[in-house]
Amino acid sequence: MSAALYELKTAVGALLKGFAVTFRNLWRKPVTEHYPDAPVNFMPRYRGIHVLQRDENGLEKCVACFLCAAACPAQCIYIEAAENTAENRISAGERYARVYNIDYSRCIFCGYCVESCPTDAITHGHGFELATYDVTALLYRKEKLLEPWPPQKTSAPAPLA
Amino acid sequence: MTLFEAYPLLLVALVKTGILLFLALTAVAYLSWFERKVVGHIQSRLGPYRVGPHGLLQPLADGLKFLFKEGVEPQGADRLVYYLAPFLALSLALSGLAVIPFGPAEIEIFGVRTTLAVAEVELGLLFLFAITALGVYGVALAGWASNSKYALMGGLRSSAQMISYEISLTLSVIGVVLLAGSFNLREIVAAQQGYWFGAVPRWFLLPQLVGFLCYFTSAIAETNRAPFDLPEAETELVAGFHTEYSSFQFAMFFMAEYTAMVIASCLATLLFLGGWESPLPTTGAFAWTVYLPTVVLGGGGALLLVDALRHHRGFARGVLALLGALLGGAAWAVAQPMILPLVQGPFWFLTKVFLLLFVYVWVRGTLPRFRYDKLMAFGWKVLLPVATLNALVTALVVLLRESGGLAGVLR
Repeated sequence: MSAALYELKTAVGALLKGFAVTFRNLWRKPVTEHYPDAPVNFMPRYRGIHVLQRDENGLEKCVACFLCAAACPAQCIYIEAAENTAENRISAGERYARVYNIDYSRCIFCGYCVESCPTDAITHGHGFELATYDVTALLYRKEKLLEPWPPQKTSAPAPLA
Repeated sequence: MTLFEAYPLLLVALVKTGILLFLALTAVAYLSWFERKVVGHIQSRLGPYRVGPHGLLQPLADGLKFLFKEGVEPQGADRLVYYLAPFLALSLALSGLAVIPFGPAEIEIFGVRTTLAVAEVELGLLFLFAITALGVYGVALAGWASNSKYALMGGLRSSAQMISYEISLTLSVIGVVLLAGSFNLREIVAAQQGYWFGAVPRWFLLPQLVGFLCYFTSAIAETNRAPFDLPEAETELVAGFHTEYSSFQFAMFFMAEYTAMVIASCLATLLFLGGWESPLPTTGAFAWTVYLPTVVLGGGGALLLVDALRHHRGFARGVLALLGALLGGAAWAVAQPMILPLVQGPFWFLTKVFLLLFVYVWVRGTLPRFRYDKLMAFGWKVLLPVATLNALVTALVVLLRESGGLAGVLR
């Protein structure tokens, strides 16, 4: 009998607790994003379309070391390197990426490229509207990925220190 | 001399049926909106909000969609039964509403004084149970006629579940019938008049608390609602008995389910929550409570107006402002001395029904679905004994009270 009473007590207690939780939640602000009507509120570390960062002088941070391409499990990063010269200085290092393509039809947004980058050149932005009618349009070239210069107000986060 | 002149009561009954059907179907449609809103907010979502302001036109859009969809008939279906089942489910559910009295007042239609119920049935409670029990035919036949294993499983489950819970449902109200000494719904409400200690309403909720809990639990199972919605458990049975139904036939099952919810809530209000009796005495210090309908309607109208002006523009603002103005007008109307006594009963009745419907939705938003064997075990091993015990104890108490103690019984 006492076991049955104990069971009843715990069951009723659990029920009341559950009902209290849902009732409180009823009055909480919904988390719904009004997406096409209003901009989306991203978490700061959201992994969106990549942004290639520049340093404070406007030079590209990427030194064409290929670590991101090596780390990429989807093998969607294609880089062609070239030497910096005195009259054509693109990055602060020895080499720069003459071609830097990310194939977003393959990218899985795992973030390994960002983790592997020794110069914090490649970062995740907050872009996500990739949909297109043309698969070839998913191949993003360096011009599309680079942070614009002079800097503009963008939704891209500051590179992680 | 026309038919209606010869039988004015027929015309009155038709008018009342028409009004009740319109109100009930509108209420059912907006109950689905209300449920989606409440469950949405419980899950930190907004629920419907894109069709009209606050999604208020969503039921209309749903209804239109159902009407214009193609009805797909499964191969090998038993045609007669297949088309009969949704009709049976909905018409039985709706006819249950006919015996529910909505208030004590009498109104005059075409010079005939008549009550706020389509039919005054002496054995109203029995009639309601008979009608709601027949509702299982719609579900079981739909499952059988669909020629689909999922539908069949859903129909079987639902028959087993509804028959099991029917017993505890009926047993749980025996206490009320014993206390009131009547199957007439009006007399049961009349037996709950008055107040203990001048403030606590003499509803059967307190002496029959166990009965009420049993009733409400069984009613949830009886109407196939979460957490007892195994007949349509979508994770296992696609959609259960209405898997093969589309278009308006599906809508009919949907409306039948929601109508059954409304009836179960109405019955709970009549049996346990004092029907249309006010929870507060209407005399002395509480005389102002007769203006509560005005306050509620006016407050709702004011909220809508403020919301329209602050958060909406264009069409939505117009709709909300119109609704607010209508509510304000209704608030003014119910404060008129001629209408004031008329609305007291329906106001309290509908308020209680609404609260119970909220609990229905709340339960759905809180509890996960039962496992089938647990459902059966709970119904037979817990609910049935408790309901029986409740009926027996009530019978004993009534017997002792009416025969003046133990000595009277033994004599």
